[in-house]
Amino acid sequence: MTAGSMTFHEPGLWVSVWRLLRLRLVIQVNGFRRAKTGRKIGYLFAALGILFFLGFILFLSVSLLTLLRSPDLSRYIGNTTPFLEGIPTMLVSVAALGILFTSFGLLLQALYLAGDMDFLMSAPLPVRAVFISKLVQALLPNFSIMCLFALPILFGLGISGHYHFLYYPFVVMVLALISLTAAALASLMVMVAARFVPARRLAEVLGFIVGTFFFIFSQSARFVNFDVNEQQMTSMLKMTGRFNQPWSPLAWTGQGLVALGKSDWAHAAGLLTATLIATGLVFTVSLWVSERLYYTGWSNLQNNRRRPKGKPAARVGEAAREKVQNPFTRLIPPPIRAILVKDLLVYRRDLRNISRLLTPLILGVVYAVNLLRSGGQGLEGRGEAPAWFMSSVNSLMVFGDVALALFLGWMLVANLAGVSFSQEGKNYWMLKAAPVSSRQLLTAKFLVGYLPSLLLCAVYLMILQILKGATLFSAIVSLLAVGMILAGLTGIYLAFGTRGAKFDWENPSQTNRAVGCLGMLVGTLFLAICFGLFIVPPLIAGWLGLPTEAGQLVGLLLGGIASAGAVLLPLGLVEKRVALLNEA
Amino acid sequence: MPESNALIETSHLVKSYGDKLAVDDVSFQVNAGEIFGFLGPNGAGKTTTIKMIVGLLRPSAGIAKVGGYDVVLQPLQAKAACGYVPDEPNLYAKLTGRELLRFVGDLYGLDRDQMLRRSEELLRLFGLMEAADDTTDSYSHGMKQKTSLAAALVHDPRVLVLDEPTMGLDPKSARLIKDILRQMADRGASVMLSTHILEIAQNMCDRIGIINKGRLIAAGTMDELRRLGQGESSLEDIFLSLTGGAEDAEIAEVLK
Repeated sequence: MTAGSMTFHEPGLWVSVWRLLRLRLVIQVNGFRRAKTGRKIGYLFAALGILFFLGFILFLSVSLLTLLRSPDLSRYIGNTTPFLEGIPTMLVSVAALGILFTSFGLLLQALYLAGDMDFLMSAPLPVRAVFISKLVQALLPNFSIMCLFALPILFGLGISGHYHFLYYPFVVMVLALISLTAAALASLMVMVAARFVPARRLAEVLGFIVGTFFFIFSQSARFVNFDVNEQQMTSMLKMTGRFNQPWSPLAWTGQGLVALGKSDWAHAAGLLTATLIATGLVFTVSLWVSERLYYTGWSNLQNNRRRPKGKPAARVGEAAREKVQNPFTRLIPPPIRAILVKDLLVYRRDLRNISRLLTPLILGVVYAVNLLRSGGQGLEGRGEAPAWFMSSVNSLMVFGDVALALFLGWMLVANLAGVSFSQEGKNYWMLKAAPVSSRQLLTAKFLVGYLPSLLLCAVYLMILQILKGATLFSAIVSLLAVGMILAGLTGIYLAFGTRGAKFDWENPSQTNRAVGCLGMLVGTLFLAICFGLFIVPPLIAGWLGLPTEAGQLVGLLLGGIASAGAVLLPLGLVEKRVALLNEA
Repeated sequence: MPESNALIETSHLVKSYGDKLAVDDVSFQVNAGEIFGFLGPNGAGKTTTIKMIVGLLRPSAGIAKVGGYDVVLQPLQAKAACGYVPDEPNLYAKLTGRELLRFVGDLYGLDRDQMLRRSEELLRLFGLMEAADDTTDSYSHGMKQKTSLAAALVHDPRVLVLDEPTMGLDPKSARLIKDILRQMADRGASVMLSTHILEIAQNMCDRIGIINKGRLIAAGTMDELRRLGQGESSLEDIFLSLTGGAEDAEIAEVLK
């Protein structure tokens, strides 16, 4: 080839942005085209569902906002105009803040952890074009979700207030501008953070914090009093006014939109122009600074030598090894012990795993608090139910702590045993090429799922039993029951997790699907049946006037047999499959 | 060479995925004290063959033996005799280099003192001492490759199988690996390696096998291959003439 035929014409910024976005579009379209028919139909139904949802929210907004504008209502609750005119500012502010925080993780992924950045940065494209296209990609999902709620409300406001038609296109344009600016600011935050913390570590920490925060936030709703009086309602309505600060560009945006709707052209032009200038300035400066910071974070990612703080990792590992090499654990064959130590170390060091374990623990604490607040006492009822029924229910309540410990154990086992093989991921070759038999592998993975769950549940149960003032015999029986049921559950989840093992995941959360719906169903059924086997004999013994202890021992025997079956049968069925794992 | 001397042996080995034959009737031997180079174009079946030998894939038909043990019938004995270095050094990201080697030592049933001594020796040999307490997710590709090789050597295997072992290594590390492989062969081990770098195969390997479209089309010493390659003298020319790559070379010439 001649040099002339390869003459390079430098592409412009927006041409490059368009090329990159078009590439993304082509990938999406190809994904749709090559999808199975069932999935395509699913997409169509989802699209129709979204349209229906949009229409519903729009209808609801128009109806509610028209009602709020009615003079009759104003006579009772006062002038609603400040509240109504504060809605655009409030929505724009919430959208900007939401995009700013939710885009952080997406941009971290898109800018540092996506596989295509090497290719894009080495291509003859303006770096700014790469950033803008990445911003748009990261922004689109959150922007769509935001539009799903904000647009119908803002349009509803326009319809109910008979706003000028220019209000509607400007609403869309302003939302897009504000979102893009918020995303640019988020990208700047990502660059600054990646300068100090390696991007992969940052993603782990972020996933852990966000997951834990949202979970605690959702669970805290249990302790919130939702009974709102008239005064509180009025102060809530006044909250929209708090967003309307004269210094806030977001307030200029909201007020500008309202002015435009009311055909107050001078105010609208002034406020919206100020918005345009402010967002343009923030966007350009953020992008400019980000470009300069990007390479530092990138080189940080390439050279992220990191030693766990405190003791050197090897000594930590050595300590873990020593723990499992005491005379008792020396009974465990070395390969099984090696896998046990390895899995526990790996699990503990990956924050993404820890966040999965935190969920059951937080739930366990929340439910324990609820149980203890009720005093662990039985129900009194209204005296309408037969005495034998109330007696049975109250007898069941006595097992509340065992049920809670089992609930906690159920979630722990599903998270530990269910993903046990999948968790190996692309490293599975090390186990598969080693002289470790299928039975040894299954035993090791069983212990990995069972021992931590048993330990946590035993501590949890003992605390509840002590607080309840249970007898030693009852505590031992409860502990044995929990231990046996958890063993059965571990066997079931490990077997289903082995059947559905996936080794090609990129994110540990993708391993959650290994157990599958059927596995979860079978595990839950086993839990219910086995729990029944443990608690029904003591109840029957009570009715027959026999000692409860005798019933408890019979329960232990029956439940123990069922649990042993649940360990041996499923694992026996998948043992041969282990040898064939990860062979496409 | 007598058959009893073979530490790697494949006989009519086949691997199929549905209708597609990835490996088709491949038979060869690698004797004790020998370095066997396994060459072939991309997608020829090299990695599939290697994976069957080390027990990562079950053959559809045929027999593979390592250290005299059938990899299907006596998998644990065969695996215990073998060390394997994959093309992609996927290591447990949250284990340190030192922990990883000790983990592998335990998997292969080494006693504690032996395992500690071997892992320290190998860390020193591969220049990984300074990073030994860092988790492997902070390692460069070359460091991971060296850790992977160290892990394959922890139990001092009689058979070593390497898939593209020098990929991503600096010249010093590549030289170190070549020296180690030669020493292992001199001590009586069998070494089988796949590579795209024909120079390595030509200079290091005692015998070379060439696989194309799943079939072993040639195997032997350099002299034996020269005879097959219709008088071509370099391994590159022999390889291209046997695998049909000579036409591609002509196209490349046109594009210059």
